[in-house]
Amino acid sequence: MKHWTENDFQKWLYGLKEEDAHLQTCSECRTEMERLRLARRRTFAAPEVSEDFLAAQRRNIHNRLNHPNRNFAPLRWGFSVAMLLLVVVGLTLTPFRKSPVALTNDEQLYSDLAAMEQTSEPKAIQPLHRLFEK
Amino acid sequence: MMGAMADRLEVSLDRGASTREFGAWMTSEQKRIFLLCKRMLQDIGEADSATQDTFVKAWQALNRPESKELDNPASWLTRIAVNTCLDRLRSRRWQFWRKRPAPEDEETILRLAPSDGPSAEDRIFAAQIGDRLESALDKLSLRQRAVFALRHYEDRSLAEIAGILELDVGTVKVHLFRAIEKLREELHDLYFRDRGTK
Repeated sequence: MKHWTENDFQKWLYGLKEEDAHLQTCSECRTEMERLRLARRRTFAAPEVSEDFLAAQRRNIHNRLNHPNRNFAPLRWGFSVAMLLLVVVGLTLTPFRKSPVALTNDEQLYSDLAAMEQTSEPKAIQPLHRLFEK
Repeated sequence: MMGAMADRLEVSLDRGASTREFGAWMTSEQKRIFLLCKRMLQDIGEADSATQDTFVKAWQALNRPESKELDNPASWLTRIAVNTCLDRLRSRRWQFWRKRPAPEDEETILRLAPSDGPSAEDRIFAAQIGDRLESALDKLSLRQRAVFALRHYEDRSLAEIAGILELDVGTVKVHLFRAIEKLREELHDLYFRDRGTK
């Protein structure tokens, strides 16, 4: 005859194992079962909770029931929208800085290229010519 | 008694749950809900807030025009409490800076039960192993913790737990089995400390 193991008893205590035929006949296991029932009951001895604490808790709950509209969500939304508007208005009123005009546009580039084609000497030599002219 | 409470609440529902009726019901359930929250959250301050949230949610639900009749107000309230605690436990994962309350604060709120039950030695032992067991609940997943707390501390049947958590009984059994496996050492000390293993 195989006795129930510690594991079996634990499962039984928590409702995961049913009593079986062995328990009906084995006085040793039944005694152990009773002992465990008592041990379990010990842990149910709930601690006393301070009456003052419970009373204060009830007062807080009643306060919350009587003032249910302490909800700051609309205020938070309003604040967010106001900030967004402020940013939009700020961006609208700030004058856009014009991007610096390109010093050389296409037309100027073409005219420079045309000039370079017409002269056989590079522009950089011109100052040297001026030296000898004197 | 439960039936009477259900009747009172049903009557209350017809005319908008009165504060006084609700207050009486709250007083009768408050300690149980607070201890359940305390066991799930392991923090007096958070358990206090969760208990308040639970009753505020219950009040709001009872006053909703579309609210239904309650077959079992205690289980219904337990479900609200468990869900509130699970929400807090989920958001707690991000609160790594959270400080645990000082043990002295707990002692002023919670005391050992009076001596009309088990012997003083038994009560002290129960308190010690109870503390260890409650700390060990951290090892469990949120669902496992809820299932174990309802079974171990409230002695609820598996079917009741399934109803409260809106799970099927098979799932509850799996959660409970895994919880027991993880708490094996603590449970061994609780039940088998004073005898050799078979």
